[in-house]
Amino acid sequence: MEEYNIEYIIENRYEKPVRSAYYQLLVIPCINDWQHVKEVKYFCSGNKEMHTSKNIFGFNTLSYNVREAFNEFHFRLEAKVIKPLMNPFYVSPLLPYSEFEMLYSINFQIDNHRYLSQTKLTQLPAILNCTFPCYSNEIQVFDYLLQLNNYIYNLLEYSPESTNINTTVEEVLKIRKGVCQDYAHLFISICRLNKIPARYVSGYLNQGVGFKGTSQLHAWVEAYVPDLGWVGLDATNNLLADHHYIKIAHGTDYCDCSPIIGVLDSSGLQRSIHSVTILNQ
Amino acid sequence: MQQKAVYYKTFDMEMQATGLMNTYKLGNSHYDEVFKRINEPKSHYQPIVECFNQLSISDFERINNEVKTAFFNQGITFAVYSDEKKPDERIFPFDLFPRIISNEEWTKLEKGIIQRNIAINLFLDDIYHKKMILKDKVVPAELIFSSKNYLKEMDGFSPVGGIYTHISGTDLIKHIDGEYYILEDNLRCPSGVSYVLSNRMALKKSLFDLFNKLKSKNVYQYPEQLLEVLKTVKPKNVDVPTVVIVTPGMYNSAYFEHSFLALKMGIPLVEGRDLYVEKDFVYMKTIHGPIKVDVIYRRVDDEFIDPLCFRKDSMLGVPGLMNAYRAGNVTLANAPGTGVADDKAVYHYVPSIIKYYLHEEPILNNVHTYHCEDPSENKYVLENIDKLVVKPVDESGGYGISIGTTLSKEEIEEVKVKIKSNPRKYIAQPIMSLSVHPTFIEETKEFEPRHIDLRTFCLMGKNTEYILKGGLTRVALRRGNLIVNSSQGGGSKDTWVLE
Repeated sequence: MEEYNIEYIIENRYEKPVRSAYYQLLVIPCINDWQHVKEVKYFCSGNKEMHTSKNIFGFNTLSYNVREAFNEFHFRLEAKVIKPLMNPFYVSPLLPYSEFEMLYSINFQIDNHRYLSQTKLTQLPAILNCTFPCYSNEIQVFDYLLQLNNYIYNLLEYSPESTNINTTVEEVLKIRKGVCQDYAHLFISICRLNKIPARYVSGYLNQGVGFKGTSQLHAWVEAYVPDLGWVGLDATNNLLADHHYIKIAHGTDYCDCSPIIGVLDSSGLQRSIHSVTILNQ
Repeated sequence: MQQKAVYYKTFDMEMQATGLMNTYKLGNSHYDEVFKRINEPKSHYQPIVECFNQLSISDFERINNEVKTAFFNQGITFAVYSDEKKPDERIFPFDLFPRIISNEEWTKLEKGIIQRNIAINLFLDDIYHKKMILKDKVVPAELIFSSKNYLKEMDGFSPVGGIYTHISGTDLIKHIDGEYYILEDNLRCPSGVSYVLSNRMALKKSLFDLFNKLKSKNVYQYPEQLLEVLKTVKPKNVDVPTVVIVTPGMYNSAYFEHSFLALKMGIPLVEGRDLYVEKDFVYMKTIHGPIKVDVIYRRVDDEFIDPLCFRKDSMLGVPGLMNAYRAGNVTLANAPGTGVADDKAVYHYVPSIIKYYLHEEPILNNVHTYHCEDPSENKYVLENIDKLVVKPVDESGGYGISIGTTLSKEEIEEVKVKIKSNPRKYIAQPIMSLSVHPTFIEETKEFEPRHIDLRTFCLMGKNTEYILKGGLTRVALRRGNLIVNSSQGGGSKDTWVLE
C-alpha cells in the first residue's frame, strides 16, 4: 500500500484586468480499482465556490465562472490517494490469433471507435521516416505493447521545451524530441494504426523514484488488451504504469485531458505558473 | 410518362395566347410546372393564369414595384459573402407568380418528408448510442466516424424526447419525369422560413382577390408551432420553459430571419454574450437580473456554440454551454452533431436508413449519388465530370459546387485534382433537370421559364410533428442557371398548397 500527498498549484497573473472568465479544471485524481481517493480539498481565489461536473468521459471537472474584474487567479488542490502495490506484468488470457480476431471484428471496432480514430494531434504523416515494430496475429498484444514502449522510448529524446501542447505526432517524428505528451501521442497513434484501441492518460507521477516527467503533470497511455482490459504504459520512462502512477483522467488525446482550460475576456498577456508536489508517505 | 411526351411534341406549335402570359415560351427540355402546352395551363393553375391574362404589363409592373418597395421598407434582406469583400446586403428577389401545388401532390410530399425525417432522427439516436446500423453494415462505420460533424460530445447522450432534428429543411426538385426528388436534407440551421411568411404577406396584399379565390393552406401558424415544439422538449423539472433564440449577430446572413422569428414567437433574441453558465445552468442577463434559460433555438453552428468545448476562438458561443446541455439543464435545438446525417455522403444511404428503421419503402426518391471514396465510382466520376454535378460533402448554401456542363477544360482538370486529393470530401450526381416555372423577368418585361426547387420545413417535438404547408420555392433568376440558393443570386416565390 502506498499513500501519496498531492499538491497542485496554479497561479495565473494577467497584465490587464480580466473582465470575465470561465475556467474548467481537470486535476482531481479519479477513483478506480487501483486507486482510492481518501481526501480532496481545493481552494481558489475569489470568494465563489467551484462547481463539480462530469466531462464526456465521466471524469470530475471543476468549473469556476467569474464575472467581476480580476488580475490574478490562484488555485490549489490537495489530495490524499492510496494505491495498492501492483505488479503490472500481465498474462494474456487469449492466444495471439484470437486476440487478433477480436481486434479486427467490426463490432469491436465500432464499440471502441473513440480510441481507434486518429485525432488532429495523433495523425501520422503519409510517409513515415522510421519503422515501427509491426503487430500481427503471431504476437500477443501485450508483448507488442512492450516492444512499442521500448521502441518509442529509444526513438525520442526527452527534451523539455522542444515541443508544446499543440505539437502533433507528425512534428514529433521530424524532430525526434519531446516530453511526456509527445511520447503518449506517438504511442497512441501507432496503436490505432494497428487497430489496438489506445487512450491518453493524464495524472501525477511519484516524484521520489527518479522518473522523467515528474515536475509537471505526467502523461501516459492505456491500450486495450483483448479480454484483459486497459493496460497502462509509459513510453517516457519505458515502464508499465503501476502504483507510482496516479491517474486523473483519460481521453482521445491531450485536448480531452488538459488540466485547465479557460475562456477569458481580456486583452493583455498572461503569466502562468503550475507546480506539482507528490510525496510518498 | 407517355402522355408527357405528347405534350412536348406540341411545343413547337405557335399558338396565339392572350394577355400577360402571351409571350411565354415553354422550354422543351424541362418540366414546366404551369403549362401543358402553350396557353394551356394545368388545371390547378387555370384560375391564376386567367387572372394574369386580364392584366397588362404595366399593371403587373406596378404591383411588382409595390411589393419590392414593401420588402425594402421591411428590411427583408440577406447578406452575401465573398472572399475579399465585406458582406453585401441585398433584397431577396421575389417573384409575384406563385408556385401552386395541388392537394393530392402535397399529401404525398408531406408523408414522404415526415417519413424521411423520422428515420433520420432514429438514425442519429442509433449512431450516438448502440450503432446497430453500423454493426449491421447498412451504413459504413468509417463514413460516420470520419465525419467532422460526428461529435464525441454527443456519444451516449440522450436529448429530451429522443429528438435531434427539431427543425429540418428538406430540399426537393421536380425532374423532367414529373417526379419529386430529394436534393438534400438540411438538419443544422435551415433558414428561409421568414421569407415564406413575408412572401405570403406580400402576395396576399397585392393579389388579394386571386388569393381568396384559390384557397391555399395557411402558413402563418409556423412560428406558433415552432414555439410549441420547442416547449415540448423542455428539460425535466421545468414547468413553464423560458425559450430564446441565439443568433450569431446582426452580420449573419440570416439575421433578418432570427429577429423575425423572435418577434413572431414573442421570445427574446440573444447573442452568446447575453448568456452565461453558472453551475451547469444557463442564464440570460437582463436589466431585471439573471433569468434561467431552458430551451435554446440556436442559429449558431455546432463548432461555435461553446468555446470551451469546440472552437476556442469562438466569440459567438457561451462557455460551459455543453456542460449545461449534457447535465440535462438546457435543451438545444437542433441538437449538436446532427450535421453527420445531412453530410452529402450519408444522403446516399437515406433510402436504406428508412427501410432499416421503419421497414417501409421510401415515399420520396433520392437522386442517384456517386461516392468519390469508392474506387469504382471514383473512376466513373473522374471520367464523366462533364456530365455530373460535383459537390463537397460538408458545405451548404451552394458553395463549392461544380456543374459539369458549365466547366471549361481547365476547370474540369481542377475539379479532378480536388477529388483526387480528398475523395471522401466529394460526391457526384447526374445533372438533374430542375423543373421550370414562368417567372417575371424585369429586364425583358416578360415571363420566362426559370428553374425552381422547393425547401420544406418540418418540425419534430416530443410526440409531435408539424410540417409547414408549402415552403420556399427558390428560383434561379439567371437564364439556364441551376443553383437556386439565395447566396448564389437566386430569388423566391410564394408556394400555395391548395385546400
